[in-house]
Amino acid sequence: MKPERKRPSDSEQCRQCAACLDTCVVVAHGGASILSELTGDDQQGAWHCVNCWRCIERCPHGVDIYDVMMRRRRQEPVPPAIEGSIDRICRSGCALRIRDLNALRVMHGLDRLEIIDEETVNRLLAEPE
Amino acid sequence: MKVLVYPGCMVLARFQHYEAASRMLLQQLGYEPVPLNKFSCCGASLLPGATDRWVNISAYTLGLAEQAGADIVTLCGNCTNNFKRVNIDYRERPAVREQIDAALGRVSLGYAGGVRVHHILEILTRRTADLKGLRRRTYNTRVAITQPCQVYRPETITGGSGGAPSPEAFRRLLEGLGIELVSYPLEAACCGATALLFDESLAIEQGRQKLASARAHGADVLCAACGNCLYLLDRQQARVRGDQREPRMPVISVSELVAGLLDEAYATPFLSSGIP
Ligand code: SF4
Ligand code: SF4
Repeated sequence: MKPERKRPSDSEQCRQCAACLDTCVVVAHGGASILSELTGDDQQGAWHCVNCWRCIERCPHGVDIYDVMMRRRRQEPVPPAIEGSIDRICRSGCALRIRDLNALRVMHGLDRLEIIDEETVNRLLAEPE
Repeated sequence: MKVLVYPGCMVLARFQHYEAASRMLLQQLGYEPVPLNKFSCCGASLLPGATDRWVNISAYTLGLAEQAGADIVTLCGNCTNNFKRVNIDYRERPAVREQIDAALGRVSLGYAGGVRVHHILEILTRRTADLKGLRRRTYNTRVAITQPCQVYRPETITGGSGGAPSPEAFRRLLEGLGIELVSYPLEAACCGATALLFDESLAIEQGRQKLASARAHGADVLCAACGNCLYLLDRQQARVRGDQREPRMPVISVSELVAGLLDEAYATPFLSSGIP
């Protein structure tokens, strides 16, 4: 069932002109993106984005689509693969699992390096007191 | 000038040769790479959707660069975009500045907003004439570019004081170095890499169309300037090509392509494909 249409709030300044829609590869592929939300066609597209930012350059009304997208992402279910990557960043400071990092670096003539520790990541991401 | 070469998670994990070639070029151009003592993700395209405190993670690397007296040189589009965005927010949004100052204070680091961020392409395009002077060889092959979206857009973030880097500048860099460039309609189309996280069929289709278009217009090699483009078009190429009727298309980073003109050891992945 198609979700009920939802108008963006005034603060998002979107006039639903749809000028952005034909820039979006997600929409062209038949999916729903943040643009589908802004134009009222869908409600669950904020995580579906390749970050090409063509839409921002196309919008004639200066909508900060990045900002709207990030706020809405915090209200929508996170796709499982993305949830795993976010969790990894928060636990290990790196979005990908890396085995034998320094062995590979030395093989390529690169300096060894350390990855930030979990405690530092936690401190950086902690709620302000 | 001191530079902190920031590989980003993808290049750190999978494309060490891109980082090595970038460092070599920077040194040849007179830059002084400083060690990155602690690597931390820039936040990627993911963390900003989870918390508005993602900026603290990006600012950590900006703080390390400032402590070392260095500018940051990035190798991926998303890292470039994130660091530039955080720099702008730090300067223009007092609440963001306050939040970053407090977070960095908790890990005994500081940031005063003074680090400039350049994608490697910005440096190479500015220094084309110098690179030309350093060239030792030429290639006899036709190269197509896959343009890195997030290095260019949105212009309000990527522009900076020196003006935004541009797809045309990327083309001029390679042409200026005597490389035969191929134009194809999907040069500026998104590679699709980020879609692997939420819609694999979209990602594979984007990559398939791009490779097919470059090949149909006579490209022997594809040149990328972002770890994510390399990941989809190179590492995932077997899936992208599907039935494998076409031969593999070598995909190489801009740094390796350029560094290979100075010293062929840096263009190994490309040269080992048999294309001179
Ligand atoms: S940035 Fe995202 S929403 Fe905007 S056009 Fe690209 S894929 Fe679509
Ligand atoms: S985001 Fe901009 S271009 Fe898209 S529908 Fe709204 S006003 Fe129109």
